[in-house]
Amino acid sequence: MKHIWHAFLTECKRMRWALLLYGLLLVALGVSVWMHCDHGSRGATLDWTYGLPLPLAAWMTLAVLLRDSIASPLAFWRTLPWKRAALGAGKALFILVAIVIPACLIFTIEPLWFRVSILEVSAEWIGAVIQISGALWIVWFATTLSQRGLKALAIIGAIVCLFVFAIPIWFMKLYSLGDLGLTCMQTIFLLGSTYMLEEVHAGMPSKLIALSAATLTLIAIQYLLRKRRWSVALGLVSLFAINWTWTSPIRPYGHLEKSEHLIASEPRLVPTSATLGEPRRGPLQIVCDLAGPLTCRLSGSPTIQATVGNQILQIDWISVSLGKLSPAFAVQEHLGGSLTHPISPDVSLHMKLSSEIPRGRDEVTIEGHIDFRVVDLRPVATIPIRDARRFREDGYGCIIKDISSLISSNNAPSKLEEEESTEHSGPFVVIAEVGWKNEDSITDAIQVRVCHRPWMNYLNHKRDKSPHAITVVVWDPIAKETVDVSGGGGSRGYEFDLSSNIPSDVLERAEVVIFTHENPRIEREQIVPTTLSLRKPVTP
Amino acid sequence: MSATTLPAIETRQLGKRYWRQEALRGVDFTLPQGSICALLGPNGAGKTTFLRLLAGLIQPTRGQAKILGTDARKLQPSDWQRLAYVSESQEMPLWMTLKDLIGYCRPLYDRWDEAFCERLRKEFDLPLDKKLRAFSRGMRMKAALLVSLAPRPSVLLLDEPFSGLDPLVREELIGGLLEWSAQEEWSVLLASHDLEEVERLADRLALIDHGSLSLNESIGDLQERFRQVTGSLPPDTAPTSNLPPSWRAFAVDGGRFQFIEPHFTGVAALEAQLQQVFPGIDFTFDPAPMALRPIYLSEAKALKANSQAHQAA
Repeated sequence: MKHIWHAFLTECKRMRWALLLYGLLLVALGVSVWMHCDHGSRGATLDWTYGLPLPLAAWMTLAVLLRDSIASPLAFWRTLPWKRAALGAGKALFILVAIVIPACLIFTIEPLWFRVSILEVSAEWIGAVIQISGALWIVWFATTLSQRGLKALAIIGAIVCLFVFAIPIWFMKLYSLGDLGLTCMQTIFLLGSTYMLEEVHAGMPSKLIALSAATLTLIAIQYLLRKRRWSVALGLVSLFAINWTWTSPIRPYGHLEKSEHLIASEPRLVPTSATLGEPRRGPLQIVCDLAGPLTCRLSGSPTIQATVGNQILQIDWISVSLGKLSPAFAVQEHLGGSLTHPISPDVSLHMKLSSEIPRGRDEVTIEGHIDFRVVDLRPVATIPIRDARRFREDGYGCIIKDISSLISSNNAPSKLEEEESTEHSGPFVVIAEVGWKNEDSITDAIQVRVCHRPWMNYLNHKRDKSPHAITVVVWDPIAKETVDVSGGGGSRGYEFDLSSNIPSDVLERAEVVIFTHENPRIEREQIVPTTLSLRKPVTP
Repeated sequence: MSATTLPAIETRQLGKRYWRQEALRGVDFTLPQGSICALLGPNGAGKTTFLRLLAGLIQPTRGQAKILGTDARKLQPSDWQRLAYVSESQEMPLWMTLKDLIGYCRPLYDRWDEAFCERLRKEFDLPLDKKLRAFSRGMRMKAALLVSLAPRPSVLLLDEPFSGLDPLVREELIGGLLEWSAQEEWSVLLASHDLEEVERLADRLALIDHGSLSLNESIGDLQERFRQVTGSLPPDTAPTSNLPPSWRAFAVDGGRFQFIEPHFTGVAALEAQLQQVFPGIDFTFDPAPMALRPIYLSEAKALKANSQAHQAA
């Protein structure tokens, strides 16, 4: 027991920096959870699945360096009178405490990784901390393998290394670390690993593959380079790479996603009131609240039947008021096709009955359903207006956010793409500009422009294009309601003039949220049959 | 065999092969308890492999090695309580301070002698709170020796412990080893290149070359057996018969002759051999004892010549 404890304490001391990072991880996760629960959504969520291998590998380089510098040499251990079982038990205890438990913790609350809802600025750093810690325990675990095993892994990893690190770094050197080098690095790396991962991106497998690849890579680097100076240099390059990967707006595959308060929950129509217009004849107005916050696309045709006793009433028209998203959309106009719009919680349904309600009846029963095809609209970018305003006061007039990597290729603006292709032979990026139409007055309409810039972005360029739609709304995160919304669909060449009638206090906190309407990755479509059943005494 | 007569180290046909390279070829070796044996040999002769096999750090391809009667492949923690291995290329936990290192090793040994440890530390002049990473090569070696010697082991396996050390440090280490081994009756197997140190330190000498052990006996016996024979002859005298095969480096020049006799058994036997070589000639001779260095060089040259002859054949 004495030896077990001694081994455990030695391991703890040996891995104290890793333990410190574990601690930071737990703190970060704890804070994240706390923020998440207590404050709802306040910021971006990171989807780092697809950006995982590079930063992970980068941190693992440093981790392996760390391990290399602090590890007790095995040969030395073997010349000491360790009770092997005790040594093993001590290490196992350490693995349990420092690796398994945090790993379980991490993977248990793994979904939170995708919704790191702390301050927006910090979210990326939290992600980085998570990755550091994750990388450390993986590396540590890998290094507990026998030397022979490591060597075998290194041989395999060398191949990965070649494609993931060597070539990109070579490119970077070749092109003097410029954008081209970075883009080459990005491209080759993605082609070599991440792009492949997309094919099997069903969550965990891709992560495991990524982790394995990164682990192998780093072990290979250690064995191939051997020279610490090179390893440090590689670590620094990787550090630079991770920084760039995490912070660069042209981060492929990554995306920011608004927290779930904008994601459709279980929509349901709850009739709340009904009023009758003219006695005996309509309109019979029924107001239904669509409970639960929604950002969804409605489609389908209503099947609503109003009856009085056994008599079926003729429904002249039905309209759906989209709450504060004026103007209201008539059901006739939209439900036949699809109503594509983010809508706020208070949706009301209006019907006009043309049938005469027989005298003497005191009840009208309306039954039916509307199929709501709920598709999560994916907010690809959130730009606080105050930031734009700050910029404006500084003389910039607007804030520009590169959202090319945030908009999947399916949503790439095809119209502008065509225009761009005539002007620029190279790829493009999509940027969103939030600013004011009139620079002299912040009360003027907020202008959001989504457009292209000629730039190197091979991946976006090469992928197939398809029709898309972009909607921009101004969102009040405190009131949790949509303040204003663009005309929708990007029909005006992706320039959206938002209302100038936003109160200044709302403007201070409002955010411009840019949605794409189709996202193959997180699309969630569900048919929500909604039955309306309303019995209302009819007052003659 | 009783515990007192049990050899400290005993190997039987110990062999090790790395891929196609045979590093050790069936070595039979015995080190009595309380002896200090210097293991000599050119680079790549197999000294380090031999020591690592003894320490159980690598597995033999054939044969067996025993440390204090225990198979080196099955050394238990209790065996390591009595065994110390210090290597020139030994990796140390550089992240530790010396204090950490002592604290790390101390609980593992039942016979850890704190007072001796402190005495060694002071004699070695090692700072406690400095990380091993910041230690010089000599200081690291001292630290390794310190934690190896503090538990008062019975058997020490030292692989080039003085290599690369400055003369002062060497002097300190050799002096210390001499003193402590005499006090503690340690059995020491010391691989070294430095003949002067070996001569001062060791009472036995083993010579290993191309993986084979060609010599293993006490230095006293060796010096008794090896003689540098010089003598005088009438001018222009040449040997008349074949020289005895054991004679090495025979030379006659201007009425004087000299050679090395590695199997000297007595003046009478040598005189009889000389009379066969120079029959009817008046000669005088003097079989002088040899220092360790010329003995080693003579043996090494003979081995090399044998090896070349073997290759030529």
